[in-house]
Amino acid sequence: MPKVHGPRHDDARPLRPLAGEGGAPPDSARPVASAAAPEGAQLAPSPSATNRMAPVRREERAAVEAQGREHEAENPGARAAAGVVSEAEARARPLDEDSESAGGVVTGTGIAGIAAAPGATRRGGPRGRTILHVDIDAFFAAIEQQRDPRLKGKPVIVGAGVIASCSYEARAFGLKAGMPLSEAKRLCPQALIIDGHAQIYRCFAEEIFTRCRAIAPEVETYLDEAYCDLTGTERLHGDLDAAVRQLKDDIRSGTGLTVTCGLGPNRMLAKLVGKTVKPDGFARIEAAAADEFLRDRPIDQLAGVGHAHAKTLRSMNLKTIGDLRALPEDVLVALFGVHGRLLYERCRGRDTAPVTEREVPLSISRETSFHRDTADRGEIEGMLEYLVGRACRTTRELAIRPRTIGVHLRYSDGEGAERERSLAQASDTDPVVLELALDLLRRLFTRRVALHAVGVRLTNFSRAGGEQGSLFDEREAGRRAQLYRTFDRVRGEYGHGVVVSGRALRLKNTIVEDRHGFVLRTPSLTK
Amino acid sequence: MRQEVIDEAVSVRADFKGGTVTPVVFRRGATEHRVVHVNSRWIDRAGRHPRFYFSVTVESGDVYQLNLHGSDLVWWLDSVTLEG
Repeated sequence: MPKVHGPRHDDARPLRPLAGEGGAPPDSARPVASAAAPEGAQLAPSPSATNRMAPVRREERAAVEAQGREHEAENPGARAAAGVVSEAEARARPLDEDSESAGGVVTGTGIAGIAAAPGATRRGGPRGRTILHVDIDAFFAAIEQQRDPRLKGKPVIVGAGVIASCSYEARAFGLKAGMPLSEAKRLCPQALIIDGHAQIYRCFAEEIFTRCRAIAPEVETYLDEAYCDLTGTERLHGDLDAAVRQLKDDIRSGTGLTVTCGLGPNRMLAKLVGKTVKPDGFARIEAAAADEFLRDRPIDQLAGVGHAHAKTLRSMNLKTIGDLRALPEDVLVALFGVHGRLLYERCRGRDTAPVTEREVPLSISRETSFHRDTADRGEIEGMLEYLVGRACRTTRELAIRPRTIGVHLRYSDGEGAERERSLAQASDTDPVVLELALDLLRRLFTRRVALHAVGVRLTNFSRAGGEQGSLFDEREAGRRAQLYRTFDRVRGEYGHGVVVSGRALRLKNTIVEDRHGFVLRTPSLTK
Repeated sequence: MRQEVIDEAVSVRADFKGGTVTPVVFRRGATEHRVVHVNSRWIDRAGRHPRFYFSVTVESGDVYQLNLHGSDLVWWLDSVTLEG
């Protein structure tokens, strides 16, 4: 899901325990029941928390490389169709490379209407993967409608400034996530606009993801969707379709929310086939049906084709995914760089990107808009210090240290600015990161225009403890690190807001607080 | 819809049954509000002790948010959402 602004609450919590840590972060939370089944809910054990990190492109690059290598080999697809693939070849092949070669059909479309052909998938075989995509329908809006039944059946918008989420009733008017509220009001004047409650949404998401983890060994979660790798679980589940339907039922009875599920031989197809049966649907696609399934779909439905890419491709009269296949790989690479190779594979239904519970994110960002545009440097720096504190806390909980710090801001006239710089040595302690962030802010904030939003972005991570330390500062650095770890423990038990330092104190009594910290206007919900 | 923050401790009569807790009646000031429907419930596990949240509709039709602190078993009335 793209970066979404809207719901309140800044919460920079770790979203998933690291391998070997087990258990849940202290702030994980979950819903236990719903209007649909208020009596039957159980107070289940804590799940691990949601991953809200930026997507990792590294996996995509690896997938491209793997596919590229495969591409140079002789055509194994035809041989596979003829049943002459050796075991060694089969192992060497990308797992869903055989999208175009193996048998199979699209076995189910329509709301909750699945008619899987028994044995159509290559269950548990060395070559086949089975990926489940779970997407929460109109997530924020659905929760708001559940919390207040008076909203049911009405067009509901969650967001501030732009739509973070809207109900299906609102979508009927052409509203969609990311649309400015001014435009939304014009299209649907009767829409009810509600401030978001990010913390509540995370509780519900975590409940859903916990249920996903109960059926799949690997689950990759985002804000409102998850990929579950069900490969090799056929003997455990028996009928995978039945397992997915059971998952949907469990989620509905446990949270009152509906999800749309897509089952396919890879992530891309699983997600895409799910989109055809939203909301509350379940569809499955077999590898052999991928070609036909993709051919006539609009180009912008292909994973990795965003607004800009779609515009470029349309200008070349390439309007469907099938049209894209006419372009040779080197042309796509020339157009879109390494991403072009991904598109080359994906338009043929191939996607070897794995489902992984990421331990090291590509970036961690914390940002918000101000409740009122401001040029008060004290307030701006206070907010930046608070955001840096939240971001650094997340890095410590993930046991990683950022080396590159970026600050971005947006003026009230819409103009933006951003800059980043690297530390001499990676650090996860607030003062070190803050010093650089403040310096960047001073260099960026040069216009005599009030600021609308500010944010910090940490990147270029290394594992904590894995870098060469400074010989003379070690003792002081160790003491400081210990101090901030202690702060983290206190905040973990009593809420982030119990320890507020330095410039962030200026925010006290000006911004509403709760146990999770300051209630920000539009905290970043980037994962 | 208009949400008003209340954030005060309240007395609540609740059912504890089958591992779940369900608020039945709560008193705010001199007024007793009977819960006619539990719309939604969730647990926030931030911090050492969990908090159990409930969105409930009372007889008047207003929607309140209650939470039960897991540490001291004190009920708090968080907010009310009023029509209009």
